[in-house]
Amino acid sequence: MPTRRPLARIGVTSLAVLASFSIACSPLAEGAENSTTGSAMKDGLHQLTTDAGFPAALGSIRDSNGKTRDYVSGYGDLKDKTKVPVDGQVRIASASKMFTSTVVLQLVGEGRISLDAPVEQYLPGLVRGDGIDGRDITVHQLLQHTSGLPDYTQIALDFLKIQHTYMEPRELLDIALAQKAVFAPGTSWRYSNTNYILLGLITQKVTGRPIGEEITQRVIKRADLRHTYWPGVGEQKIRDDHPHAYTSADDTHPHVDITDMDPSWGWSAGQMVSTPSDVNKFLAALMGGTLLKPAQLDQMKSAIDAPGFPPNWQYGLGLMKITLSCGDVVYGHGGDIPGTETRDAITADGTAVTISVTALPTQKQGESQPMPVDKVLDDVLCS
Amino acid sequence: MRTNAFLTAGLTVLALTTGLTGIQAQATPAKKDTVQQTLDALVSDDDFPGTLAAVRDTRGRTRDYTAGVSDLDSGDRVPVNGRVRIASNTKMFTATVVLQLVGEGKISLDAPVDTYLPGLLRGDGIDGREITVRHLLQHTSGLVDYDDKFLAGGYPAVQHRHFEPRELVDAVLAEKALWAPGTKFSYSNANYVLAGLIVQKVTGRPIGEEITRRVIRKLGLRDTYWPALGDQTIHGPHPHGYFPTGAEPADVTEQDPSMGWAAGQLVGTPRDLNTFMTALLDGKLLKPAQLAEMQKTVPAPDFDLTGDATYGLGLGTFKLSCGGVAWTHGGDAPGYVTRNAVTENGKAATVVVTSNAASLEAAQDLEKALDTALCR
Repeated sequence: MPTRRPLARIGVTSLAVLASFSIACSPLAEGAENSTTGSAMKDGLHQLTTDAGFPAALGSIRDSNGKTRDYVSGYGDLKDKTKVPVDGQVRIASASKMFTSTVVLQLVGEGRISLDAPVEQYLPGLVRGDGIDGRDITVHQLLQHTSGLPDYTQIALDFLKIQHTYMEPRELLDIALAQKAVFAPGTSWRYSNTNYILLGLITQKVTGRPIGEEITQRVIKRADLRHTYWPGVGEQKIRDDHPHAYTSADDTHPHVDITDMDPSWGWSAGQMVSTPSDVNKFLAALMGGTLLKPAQLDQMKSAIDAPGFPPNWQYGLGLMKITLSCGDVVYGHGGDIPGTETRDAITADGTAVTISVTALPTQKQGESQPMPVDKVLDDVLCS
Repeated sequence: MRTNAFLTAGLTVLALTTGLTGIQAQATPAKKDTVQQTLDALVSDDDFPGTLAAVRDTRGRTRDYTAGVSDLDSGDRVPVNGRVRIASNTKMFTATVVLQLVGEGKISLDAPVDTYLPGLLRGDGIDGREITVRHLLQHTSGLVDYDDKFLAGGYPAVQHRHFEPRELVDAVLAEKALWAPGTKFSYSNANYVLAGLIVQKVTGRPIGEEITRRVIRKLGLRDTYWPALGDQTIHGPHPHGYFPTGAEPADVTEQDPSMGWAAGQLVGTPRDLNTFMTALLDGKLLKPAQLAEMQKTVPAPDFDLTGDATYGLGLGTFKLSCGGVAWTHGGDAPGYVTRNAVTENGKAATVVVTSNAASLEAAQDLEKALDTALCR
């Protein structure tokens, strides 16, 4: 089967494509202790790096007391067959949306942004297009993906051509605004990175500071996330210990190392770097009320149906409500970017789990229900 | 070095009516040569808190000067060759990168802006299909400047504000063009913001990275850097910069330089500016054809206070009292005003004062100090 060229997309469903890996053997998942959840994690990561063919899988479990266990499986670098750095840094892609949403909702709590205000109030005259009018789209609709704005990542950008390209946030918006509205604001649901680019621009307008600085001050520092950062302009490398990230160029080049990339096309919709344990720590801080006032946290969790996403997923404000196979309801927001897929969620009792793999699922895996990483997340959380 | 009234090679055109007060500046004891005396006078007569200069002779030997204080509170001395916001001198760097890309065949000087930024420039009397890259670099695009618009509420209101480059462009597109492209010179920071966007589009990399790689590193300018996004401090030894506002001069050392971006964001030193200008005119950064384009000038009477200035592509001329002209730019950031030039025979000088001028006389004296440094 011919392999499609990977597309530059950031999402929470697997949109890019990867040829199957055929790694003869893979080290067993390493973990600190035996427990039901720990065993489920080890088995899951092992399966992901063997049968499912991902180069590496990293997992972290944080219990309700904050105790953390980290797990890895596979190879950090396929060329040298190195171990996967435990709790290594990865590009968390759309999981960044939780951070952007948290900042916006903090500003709502401070009375500086109104959820029901039109985008126009903060970015006058900026949002105009075919069926698109910033006077008719609210901040709430951006946060919940009900704006009907086209997704700039759906324009077929060949990822390998823009891997090292720096893009201004406004260029991303230009791409989106050249397309027609998908539906009238508030009439349906459709995931669009454009919404979160606009939220970044609104935050900058309201605070007068760069969105990366606001995320750093208001979320990363407040939640004491020591391995999480907003890459600087032009920064293409991952700073600390990290596994390599891979994509397929074609059938004969199934494992192209794309660890170094310019993530500017993700910006406030998906630019951040973090680790599995830091994502858990963030989720715990968020749900523990460290970051948001109760009213805004309630708004964030208030979720609606998300047609096109798996049926057990609903979408709040930069946060998904996921109903597990065992019936439990958890909250989180995964991310997919060429080279990395992340899934994360926290239970009502405060157990948080994050899993990252260092390639996107194949087309076939992406169409399966559940998708491989989602299945492991479900297995661990239900164990 | 462009001056409208008495300020502004760049970032600020601010009505300054209040003189500096309460200055306890004392001239740094030094050999009383002409340049030192001139700097001392800038502090004693013109109320600049501090000044620093570097004069590089035709053989590459440099003499540094300082006068006044670095910090009005502590009274500390001005650091020799301290780092300052070089403001619109950044335009020389941006123009150099654009002209390097012209030399590489990646940008055409006479191509319309629309070739690189399709559809971006549209407005009342504004059309990106008619404005060329040359018009931008030469300030003959007819685009207005954005300074006045953002400074309407006073500088303190925007001192710590981050601007997206495209916000700067938006502000200009909302205003009517002054005249048709190519008609005549009118200094506008927007021209260089657009040049920065063109560089990014053509190279696929951030303008700060291109300036760093193609100019700063190439010349080994160790005290010059492009401030990272949101960085409001000045790294390394530097004098404080002051803005004459109200009764007390305001310390504006920390500021968000994003309003300058490719038109004025860089931090540098007097020595590094001399090194850069000398290397540029020596042909170390550009091929001969592009350097020649840079030096083709049009009349630019309001670029300095003498009224005799002309402007090429990111490079102006400064008429010397000792005859002939020097190649110059200059820059005005809030808190730091720089005047700098290199003569035809390779003598370079940079003089910086650590406050915006509070009077026309003070601004003229700064220009005269540059003339003294190059002519004595």
